[in-house]
Amino acid sequence: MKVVVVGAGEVGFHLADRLSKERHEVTIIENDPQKHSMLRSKLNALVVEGSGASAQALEEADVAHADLFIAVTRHDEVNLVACLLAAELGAKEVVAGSKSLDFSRAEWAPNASRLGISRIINPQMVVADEIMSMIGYAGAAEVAEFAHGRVVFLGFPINAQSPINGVSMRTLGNIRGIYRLIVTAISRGDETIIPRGDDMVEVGDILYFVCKREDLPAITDLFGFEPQKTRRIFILGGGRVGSEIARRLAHRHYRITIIDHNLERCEKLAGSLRNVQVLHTDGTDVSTLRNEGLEDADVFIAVTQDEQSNMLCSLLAKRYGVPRVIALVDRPEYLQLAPSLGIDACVSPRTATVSAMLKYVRRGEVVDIEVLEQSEAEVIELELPKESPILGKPLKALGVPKSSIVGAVVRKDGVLIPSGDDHFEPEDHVIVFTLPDGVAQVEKFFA
Amino acid sequence: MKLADFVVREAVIHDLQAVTKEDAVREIVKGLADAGELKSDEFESIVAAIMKREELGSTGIGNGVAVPHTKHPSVDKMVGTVAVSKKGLDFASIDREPVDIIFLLVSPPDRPGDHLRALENISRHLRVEMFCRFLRQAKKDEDIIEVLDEADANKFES
Repeated sequence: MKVVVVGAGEVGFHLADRLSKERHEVTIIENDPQKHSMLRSKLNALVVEGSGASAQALEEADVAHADLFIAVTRHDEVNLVACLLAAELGAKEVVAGSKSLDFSRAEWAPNASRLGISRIINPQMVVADEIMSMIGYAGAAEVAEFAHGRVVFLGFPINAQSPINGVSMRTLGNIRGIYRLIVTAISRGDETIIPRGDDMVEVGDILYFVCKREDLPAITDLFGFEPQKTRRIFILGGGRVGSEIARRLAHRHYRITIIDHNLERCEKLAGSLRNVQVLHTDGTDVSTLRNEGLEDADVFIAVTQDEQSNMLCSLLAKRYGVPRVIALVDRPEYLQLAPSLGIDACVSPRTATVSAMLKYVRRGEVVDIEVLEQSEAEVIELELPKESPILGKPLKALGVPKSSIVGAVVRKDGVLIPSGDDHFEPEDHVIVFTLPDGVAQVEKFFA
Repeated sequence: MKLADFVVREAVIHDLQAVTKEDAVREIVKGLADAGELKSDEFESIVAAIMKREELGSTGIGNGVAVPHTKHPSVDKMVGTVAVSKKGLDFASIDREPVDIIFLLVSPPDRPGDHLRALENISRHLRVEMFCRFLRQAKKDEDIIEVLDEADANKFES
């Protein structure tokens, strides 16, 4: 696939890096001359100098033949102009990143599509979506739903009290008769592996598994992932992400307190948010937070622009008894560090946005895709073709690519958590976990 | 881990009388209490804990098999047994078929790993068609014990 990325910021660089590693033909357009030599040395991609809004740069990047065009500079206007030009020049799929909420609202989608833009993705909205999905799954560090919510992919942190601490993969595999789940991966430190029979669950791991949603209550009970009833939520940071989740959560009848140190912003929030308590103070001002009932909170969500402060304040909240803390963290180094510090879940605008954009790369058979915060591994839902050599044979005989594992099979008569003796049928939807280096193989294998 | 490590031989039932799920659990737990392996005054509490677990999702796992289980603070070691019903009974199984083989397990809360390994063991054996068939054919309690011993000796491994 030929992909053109405009803007080598966090998201753009990351997308280009990832796609080129997956052997896509990647061209990156970047305006800042100081970045060019770095890009040339670090990326296996063609680097074009210039603005995404310049016809010359777009022609040089051969946008006319691009299967996918993604504009993610810091400037919404540049992204939009670049996308309009790219669509006009003949790029097949055109996606814009936008910081402004105006453009990314669902109501605006018809306008975008009339202009030839497939989708406008707003990182803050993507992050808000992700945090919202986590609230529904107490204790989970990672959540993704597939097949219209019938299949769930979850990552749970393992602590010393965890009943499955010290249990082998073989045991978890063998109880599948009673507890239908497939452990797809373990993140341990900075490594994510697909565990095999003798591998053990250890303290500090994040255990990822796939199961049917209906089986989740029994599984969380067995694994000791206590389903607390979430009622009271503290949100630190009244920016776009914070106010958006406050608005949505208040709508769902949670009791919300939103904290911001900027007085002007607090006044604005108080004016615009209904049924939300607005607190003008600092996230480290523990005594005020405690007076306002921090100790009774079920979840503390830190989404300021300062990721270090998000980490620190969520740890403080944890220290004062909040059972679950979620922090907005973007740097890969911090993302890896966070679980060991005790932060229950992290949301990264970078990986969330990349994940949203990748849905346009994995076209064809791919129905849905989620990228893990910790490791950039992917969970992909794809549809099998009507005819394929992999149909009708037992899974264990298929030689599924090594760095991947099949988690669930969705077909007309229901969801199957497969064993090695099961087989695929035409047009099955398959939910596959894959490490970053296995993506290309997986796409080929199931195509 | 072997079945013999947690199955109470005196409590196996080759001809379960109960016709409902809860009565089946009661009959089996009573057998364990009568064998002296569960405290009689905890009887109701244990039955309630097992039924509460069933509410989260039936342990009737298909093919006529159910594995009701719980962790309970009144036991200090794992206690389990097997019951076979000649007529079969409704256990709200995932395949909606009646259940005629019931493995019941009560484990102490402080050894969750062993609880899982016992479930693993049960689950592994119940996958073997011959094991289930022999259990169903039991004409007396001793026949069940014999089948369990043979399973422990890996006689049914394919």
